[in-house]
Amino acid sequence: MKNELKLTLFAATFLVATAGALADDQDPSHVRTATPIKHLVVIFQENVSYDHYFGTYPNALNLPGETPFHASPKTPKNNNLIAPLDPNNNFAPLAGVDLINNNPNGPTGSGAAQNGAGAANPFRLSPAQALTADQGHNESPEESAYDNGKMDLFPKFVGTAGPPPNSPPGAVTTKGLVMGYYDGNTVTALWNYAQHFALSDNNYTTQFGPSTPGAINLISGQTNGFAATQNVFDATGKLLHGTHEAFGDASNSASNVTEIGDGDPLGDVCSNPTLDQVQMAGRNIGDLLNDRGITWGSFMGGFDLSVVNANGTTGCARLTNPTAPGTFAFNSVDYIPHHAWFQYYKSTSNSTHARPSSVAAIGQTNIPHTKTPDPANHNYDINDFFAALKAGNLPAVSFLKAAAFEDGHAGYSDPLDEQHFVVRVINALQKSDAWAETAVIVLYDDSDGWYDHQMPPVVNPSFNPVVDTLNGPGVCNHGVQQGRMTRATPLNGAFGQPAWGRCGYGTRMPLLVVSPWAKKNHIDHTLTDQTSVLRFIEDNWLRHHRWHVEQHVRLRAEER
Amino acid sequence: MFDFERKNDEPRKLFLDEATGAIVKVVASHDDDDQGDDNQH
Repeated sequence: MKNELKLTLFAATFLVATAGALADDQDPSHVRTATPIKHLVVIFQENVSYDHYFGTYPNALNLPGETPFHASPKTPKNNNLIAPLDPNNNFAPLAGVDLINNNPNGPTGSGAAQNGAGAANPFRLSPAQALTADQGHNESPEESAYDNGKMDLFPKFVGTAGPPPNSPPGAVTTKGLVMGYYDGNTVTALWNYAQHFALSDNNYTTQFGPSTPGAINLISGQTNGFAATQNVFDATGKLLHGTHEAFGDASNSASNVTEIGDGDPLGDVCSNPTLDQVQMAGRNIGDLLNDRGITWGSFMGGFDLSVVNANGTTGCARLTNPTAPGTFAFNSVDYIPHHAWFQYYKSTSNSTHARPSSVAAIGQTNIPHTKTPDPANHNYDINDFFAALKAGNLPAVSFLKAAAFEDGHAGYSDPLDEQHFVVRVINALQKSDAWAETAVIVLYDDSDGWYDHQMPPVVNPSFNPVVDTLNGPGVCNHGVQQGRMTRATPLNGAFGQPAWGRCGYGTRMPLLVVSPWAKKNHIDHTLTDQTSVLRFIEDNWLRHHRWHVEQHVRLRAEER
Repeated sequence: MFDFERKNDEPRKLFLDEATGAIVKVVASHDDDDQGDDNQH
């Protein structure tokens, strides 16, 4: 497994990275890289656990009227509901475990009494049930659902009852909805990509909790430490939003606070002025790419505030209605500030959503052929991604966030609308000249709370008495999993001191690599998390440069 | 995840239908076979 790690996605250390980027030639095809990959496109979707989308992979029910899915008989085993494997024993099959009919969250399971009327075994959601209620996904209740590794209190702590969807089964109208999963008749595209490219079944959020920690971990690996805040503390120094921010130590120091929830980025014109806003300290991968003159961009649905949608909405209120049938809990605006990764850092923000000077400027720090900074500062609308691709100007590294209705988040999006977006992006890339040198990574910011059966390895402990519950009150420190002993002391925050609030790894999520260079119909068991994307960028473009590596959760993986 | 030993003379492509996710067109790489890559731990 150790050797495999070096040969797969995230550690190209066996390859010699030679010269760095050429400052006078930013064409990604001309930039020296450690692998044949010259373009990385990260599609960062919303709120899915591994078992929610791949719980029965590759077996679909194929009911009449549904989009059929038929798998290759050579499909490798993956760790899911129908064939659980043991990550602590070289992914050997777990004998005598029936997660479908005798689940710990079910009526005969260990959590039955506490789950009450919500106790349910996992059940299939059909394509007609693509629209569901949003589940609970704050850090503390997620830890509680994991119940010291028994994984048996999902309905109690993170379950949210429907409708939607409507029964059957009856569980959808209880907190047992959290046990629902889709198969290849709904998430057909993702299952087809898995058949032809590579899928990880051992990938996790870097820490428990919702969207913002996931977005920040993806680009910096550090959710602790603020450079500036607004509406975070009251006059006495207490935290105003306990599900968004948490103190990093027992002294309740304002210089040691971790973002554990969905505070808005400070200063973004679309941020909610009445809620908490934060600006992160430290740097992110955009800064490092700028240092080397590597082109990159953040492309988000709804970011261009000058666009008027077909329904007349514009500005921060741009809104697109989902297309899946049913009535959504609410229809979200296209641009959600607390998903806007690079807006949390002063050095990489575009708080006014200024437009790029031209399509040719997309990916560049300066207006081409000048030393004048481009107004967009690497932050663009999702439409700009397609415009740049069409113009032959795909940056070396692109981070994509769909407009809300296509991001897959239960409550205001759904797997069918999500599928539209993912397929549209990948089809377009495959039609471009860049495809032969491109890798797409599809992964997620958090699990939404949806059930997953796999306890994560805890690589970074936390002892916040208000937040942490994983192993008991005030304790996230699980011991040994996948050959790793949890560290005694939390990893350092942005200002160099151990920081609570980053209990992780968190929930298990799908991760797909779609690329001509991906293995075909491959299941990868290499342990990864959201910051593994950072590591690949560092290895491929930055000569393995590790910045502030002592502060990163991924340190544990590198210690092996 | 990756196999950088490939020749990739013909980059593998999989075009899907946006609405259903069903396969529209497959372009196989010369490196690919029908067996799938071996699962690796």
